Amino acid sequence: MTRQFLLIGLLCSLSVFGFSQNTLPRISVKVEGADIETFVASLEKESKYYFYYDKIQFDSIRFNVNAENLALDKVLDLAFANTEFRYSVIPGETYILLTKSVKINTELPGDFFVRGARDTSKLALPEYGDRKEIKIDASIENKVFNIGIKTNAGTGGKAILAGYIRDAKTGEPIPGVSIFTGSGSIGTLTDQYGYYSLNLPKGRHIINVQALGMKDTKRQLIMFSDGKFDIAMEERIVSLKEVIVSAQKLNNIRSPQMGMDRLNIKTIKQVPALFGESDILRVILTLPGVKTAGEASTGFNVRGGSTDQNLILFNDATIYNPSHFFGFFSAFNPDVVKDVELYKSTVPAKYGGRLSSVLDISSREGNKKKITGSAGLGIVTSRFNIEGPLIKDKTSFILGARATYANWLLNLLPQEYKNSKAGFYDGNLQISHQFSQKSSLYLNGYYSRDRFSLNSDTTFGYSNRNFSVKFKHAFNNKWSSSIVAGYDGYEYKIASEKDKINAHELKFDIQQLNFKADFTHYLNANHTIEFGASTINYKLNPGSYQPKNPESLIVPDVLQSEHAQESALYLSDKWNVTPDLSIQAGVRYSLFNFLGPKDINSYAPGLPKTEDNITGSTSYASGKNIKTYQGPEYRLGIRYSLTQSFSIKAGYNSSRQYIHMLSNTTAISPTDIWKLSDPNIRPQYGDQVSLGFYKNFKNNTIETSLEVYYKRIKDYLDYKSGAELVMNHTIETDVINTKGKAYGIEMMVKKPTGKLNGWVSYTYSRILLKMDDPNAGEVINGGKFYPANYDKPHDLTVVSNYRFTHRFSVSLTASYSTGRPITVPIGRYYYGGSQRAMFADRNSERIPDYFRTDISMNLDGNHKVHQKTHNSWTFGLYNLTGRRNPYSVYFVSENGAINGYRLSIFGSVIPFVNYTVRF
Amino acid sequence: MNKILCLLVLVTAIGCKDRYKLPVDVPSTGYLVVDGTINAGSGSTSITLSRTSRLVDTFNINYVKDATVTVEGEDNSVMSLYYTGELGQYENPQLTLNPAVKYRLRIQSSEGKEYLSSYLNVQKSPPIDNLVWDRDDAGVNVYADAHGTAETSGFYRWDYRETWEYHSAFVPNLKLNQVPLAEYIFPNQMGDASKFYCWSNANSTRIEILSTAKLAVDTAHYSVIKIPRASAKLSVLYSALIRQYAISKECFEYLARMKKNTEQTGSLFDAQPSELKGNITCTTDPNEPVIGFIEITETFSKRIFIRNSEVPGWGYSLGCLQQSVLNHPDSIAGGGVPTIPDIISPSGDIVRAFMTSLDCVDCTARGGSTTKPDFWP
Repeated sequence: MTRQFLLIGLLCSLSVFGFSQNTLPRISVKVEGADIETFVASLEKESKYYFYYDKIQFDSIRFNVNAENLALDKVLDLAFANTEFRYSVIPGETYILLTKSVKINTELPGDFFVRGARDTSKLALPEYGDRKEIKIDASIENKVFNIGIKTNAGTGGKAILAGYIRDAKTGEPIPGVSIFTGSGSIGTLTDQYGYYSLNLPKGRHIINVQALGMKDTKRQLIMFSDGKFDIAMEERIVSLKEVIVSAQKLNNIRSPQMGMDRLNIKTIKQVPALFGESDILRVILTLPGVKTAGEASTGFNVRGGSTDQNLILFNDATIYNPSHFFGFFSAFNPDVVKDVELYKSTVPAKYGGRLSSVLDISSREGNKKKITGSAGLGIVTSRFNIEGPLIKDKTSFILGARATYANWLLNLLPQEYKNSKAGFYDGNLQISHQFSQKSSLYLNGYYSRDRFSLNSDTTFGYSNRNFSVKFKHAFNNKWSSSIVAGYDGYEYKIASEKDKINAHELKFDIQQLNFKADFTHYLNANHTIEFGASTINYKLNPGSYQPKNPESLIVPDVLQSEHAQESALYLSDKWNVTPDLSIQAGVRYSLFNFLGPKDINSYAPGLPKTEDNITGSTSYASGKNIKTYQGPEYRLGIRYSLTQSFSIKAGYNSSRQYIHMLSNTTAISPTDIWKLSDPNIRPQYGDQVSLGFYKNFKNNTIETSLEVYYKRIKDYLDYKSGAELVMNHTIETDVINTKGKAYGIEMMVKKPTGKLNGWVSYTYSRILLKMDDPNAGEVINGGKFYPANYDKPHDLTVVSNYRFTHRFSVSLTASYSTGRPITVPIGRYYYGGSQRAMFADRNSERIPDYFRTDISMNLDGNHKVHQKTHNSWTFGLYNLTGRRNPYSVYFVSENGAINGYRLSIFGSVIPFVNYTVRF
Repeated sequence: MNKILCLLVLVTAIGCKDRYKLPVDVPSTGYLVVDGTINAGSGSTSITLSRTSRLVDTFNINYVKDATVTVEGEDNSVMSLYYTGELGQYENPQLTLNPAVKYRLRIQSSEGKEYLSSYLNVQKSPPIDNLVWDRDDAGVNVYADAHGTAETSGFYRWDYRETWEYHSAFVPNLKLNQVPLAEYIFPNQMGDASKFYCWSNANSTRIEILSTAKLAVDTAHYSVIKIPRASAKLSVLYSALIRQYAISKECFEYLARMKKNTEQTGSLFDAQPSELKGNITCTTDPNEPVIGFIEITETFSKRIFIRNSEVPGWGYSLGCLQQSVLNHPDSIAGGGVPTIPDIISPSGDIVRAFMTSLDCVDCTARGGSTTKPDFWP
C-alpha cells in the first residue's frame, strides 16, 4: 500500500510538471476537515473557476488545506497529495475536471500526428498508476486480457487457461491460491508449484485470485482459445481493517477434501513456542484430531493412529525421526518452511504407506530476484538462512541451518553432571532451476544430527539424511507431470566407552531409495485426473552390537539386514458433478515384496509365535522374493454444498502399512527401531469412514467445522508382556497383532483473520485395541478392548493471537488433554521362590490430566519496506500456570517399599526470548 | 530409558519429580496368592497361601493362617489339607484322587471369604527319565530328560531343592578368651572340626517351564539348574532333588507370562507388563483378583549328585588368609579369630597366633547347618 502511495505521489508531481505552463490564478484557501462540496465552494469563490466532479466518488475524502497566495494548481496538488484523485485543467476554459483514479488527458499527445496511432494505450483510459514495470503482471486489474487466438468462430465451447501464480517480489510460486470466476462456479487451487489450470467457457470472465497473506486481486479476460496466463500477486504488507476477505475462506467449504489442514508459516510463527523457536509440529498438535504423544516429544497421534502411522514428508523425502533433542524441537527449520499440509481422513491417492495421516511439509523456493536471509537467536538454539538467485529469475537457492549451544546449560548443573553434552544441528539446501515456463528442476538436501551424552558415559546419537531430485514439466495446459528420485536415510547409535570391558556400540539404520512419477490431466472443467506410480526400495539394518575398543569383552552381535520393495500405482479423479456436488475418488494398488537375503523362522501352526515354537528356519538368497503382500486402497471424498457457506462432506479411506516402528514408549524415542513386514509380521490395514459439516459465518471470516469418524485397524502391533525389542533375533515372538477401533468427533471454530484471530478445537476420540486369540499369543485384559497407550479421550486447544498494532501482537495458547493410560504395579507377592510384582490390567490407569498455557509477545521493528534489515523480538512464558504436567510415571524400590513418582519436564514457568533479523 | 529421562531433567534443569499416588486403592489386606500343585501321584500335597503386600509397605511375606483348604471332587468327595503351623503351608501327606473325576480347590479364609478354582482334570505326568549335567564356560547345567506320551500335555514344569556340602578353610585349635587372648580350645591342643563340615539348602527361585508343543515328538531336555562357575555349591559335593510335573497349556501360558512380567532383566525399554488371570476366583467378591494357577498333576522327582572332583579347575576359592598376630590383648582385639599358634615360647605360651575371619573357621557363619542330611552319602 505504501508503495502505491509513493507511486501516485510520483505521478502527481509529474502531472504538476506537465501542466504548470498554464497560468492559473493565485488564491488563498483555508479549510479543515471540509468535504468536497465545501472545499470546491471555497475554491470557486476564490478562483472563479468551475469544478466538475462526481460527488459520490469524493464522499469519503476530507480536506485540510492551508494555502496562502498559491496558484490554483498548487493548491489542488496539495489537496490531492497522496490520494488517488486527479484534476484536469482544460486549456482556455475556466473549468476544472476532478476525477478519481483516472486522469483525463486534455490534449492529444505531441507526437500524435507524427507517428500515428502506435501507442494506443495512451488513447484508452489510462491504467492505474503502476507503470513502473512494463511487464504485464499484477495489479492490472482493469485491463482486459485476450487469451488465445482471436477468431470469429463465436464464443461457444470451452478453453483451458493455465499458468503459474507467483509472488511479484520474490518470484516464488504460491501454492494453494484460490482462483475462481466471478460467479464462483468454476474454481481451482494452485498446486504446490503455484500451477493452476482452469477450464472456462469461451467469452469474458473476471477471475478472482486469493491467497493467504497476499493481496486479493482479479483479472479480466476474454477466452478465445487455450492459453497461458501467469499472475503475480503482491504480499499484503499492511493489512487494513477493511480488507477482511482473505484466501482459503472458500476452500474449506468448496474443496471435496476433508480432514485436511493447511497451515502456512505465518500462522505457525504466531503460536508461542518453547524457547521462542517456531515449531511446526507443535502447531500441528493444536489442530483437532491431532494429539501429542508426550510433552517433550514431537511424535503425534492422528485420529487414534500411532506415531509411526504418520507419513512425514519434507520436500517428498520421508523423515523417520521428526524431532531433535528428545523432541524439544522439531526437525524442520521454520525459516525455510513454506507450508504444511496434514491429511487425516481422505488422503489423496498419490500418498500411501501409512495408515493415519500424511504430513506434507514443503520448503520455500529461494528468492529469484535478490539475496535475502534471516538469522535468529534464542536461548538454546540459533538459526540462519540465506536465499537468492544463482541466475536471476531462473535459478535460486535457499540454505537454512540451525544449531544448539545447550552445553552452557549443562554446565550449570551439579558437578557430577559436568561432562554431559547435548546438541543438534540441521541443514537444508534447495536449488531450483527454471528451464522454461514449462520445466523446472529442484534439488533438495536435508541433514540433521543429534548427539547427547550423560557424563561421557553413554552417547546417544541419531541422524536423518535426505536427498531428492525433482523434475517438473507441464506438457501443455492440460497435462503436467512431476518426477522425483531420492534417497532417505535414518540411523541411530548408542555407544558406551567408559568401562573398557563393556565398551560397546549399538547401531540401527534404515535407508530407502524412492522413485515416483505423478501426472495430472486437466480433462475438462469437471474432471481433473491424477495418476502415477511410485516405488521404494528399503534396506534396513535392525541392529548391530559391537565392541567399541579392542579390550572390550562384548561379544559382537549383528542382526540380519532386511530388504523390501514397496510399489504402488494410483489413479484418481476430481469430478465436479454439479457446481454444488463434487467427488474425489481414487484407488491405489500397493504391492510389497519382502526380499532376501534373510533367514526366516517358521513356527508351528496353531501355536503362539514363541521361541519355544520355532520349528525351523529357511535361508533365502539375495534378491529372492520371500513374501508378497498386496491389495487395493480406496480413497473417496464427496462434497455437497447446501449454500455458499455451508457444505457437507463424507469420505472413505483405506490404506496399508508395511513398515512398523517398534517402541515400548509412546513417544518417538531415539532408540526406536523400524521393522518391515515379513512372513511373520503382517502389514497393518486400516480403513476409515468420516462425515463432516462445514459452515462459514460473517462473510467467511469465521469458519466452523464438525467431523466424525470411525476407523478400523487390523494387525496393529502391540507388545507381549516384557517384550524386548533391541537386538532381538526373533522379534516376531515379542509382538502381537491386535485389532483396533478408533472413533471420535472433532470440532473447530477458526477465525483466520482480523485483529483477534486463532482457533478453538475440541476432540473427543478413543482408540481401543483387542487381542483375544489365544492361539496367536497371550490374551490381553481377558480379550476385551483396552485403550492403546496413547488413548486420550478429551482434548481442547485454544490458539489465539491479538494484534494491538501492526508491530505488536500477543499470542496465547492453552491446551488440555486427558492423561494417557499406563500399566501400573499395584502390589507384590511371593511365588515360586521369588518376590514378584503384581500389575493391574494393561493400560488401566492414567497419568494425571495435562494442561498448559503459553503466552508470547511478538514485537516487530518498523515496517518500512526499504531498509536493510527487519528485526523482530519474541518474548514469552511457557507453561504460564507452572503446572507440573507429568511426562512419565515410574516406580522405584526405596527401603524395601516401592514408590511411584511422576516426572515433569517443564514443571515451572519458563521464560524465553528470541531475536530474529531478516535481511 | 531412565537415563534418558534423567538427562531430560538435567538439560532443562527445571524438571521435577513428584510423588505419584496410584489411583487404584489396593486393600492393605492384599489379595490371595495360591502357590503349589495338588499331587495326584504318590507323595504329599503342599499348598502355600499368602497375601500380596502393598507397594508402599516394606515387603514381607504375609502368610495366611487359619484358612480351611479342601479338595473337592465332582463325585462329592472332600479331602482336607491341614495347616502345618508355619510358612502358610497346608498339607496332606497323600491324597487319593480318581483320574476319571474332576476336582477343585476350595479355600475359606478366616475373614469369611471363599475362593474356588475351576474343576480340573487330573494331569498325567511323565517321569524324569534321566538327570544329566554338562559343563561350559558359564558353569554347570543340570538337565532333566523326559518323554511324554499321548496322555501327557507336553507342557512341563520343574522345581528343585539344592543341597551342597561345603567346608571351612581351617580347623582351629585356638579360641579367644575374655581378655582377649588366644588360647587352646581343648587342653590336649587338638583341633576343633565341629564347624568344619556344613550343608546348605536352596529352593528354586525361577519359574522353569517348557513347551514341547512344536516338536514332532514330545521329548524334553531342559536345563533346569545353572550353577555358575566357581560357585560354592560345587566346592565339595552338590546335590539337587528335581521335581517334574506336567501342566496344562493354560497353566503354561499363565506361568510364562508371570515369568516375563517378573523375571525380566533390565533393558533400555520398560517392559510392557500385563495382568495375570489364573484359574481361582473369589466367590464372595468376583472382582477380587487371585494370584495363582492350581493344577492337579502327578509329580515325579529324582536326585542328582555332582562332586567337585568331576569339575576340575572349578575355581572356587573361599579367599581365606591367615595372619600372624602378637598374642597380646591390644593386637588380638584388632579383630578376627585365632586358628593355630605361630610362635610358641619355650614355656609353651603362645607368643604369636595366626588369625583369620570367623567364616573361615565356622561354616555356619556362611548360612549352612552342621547337620548332615539323611540322603547324604
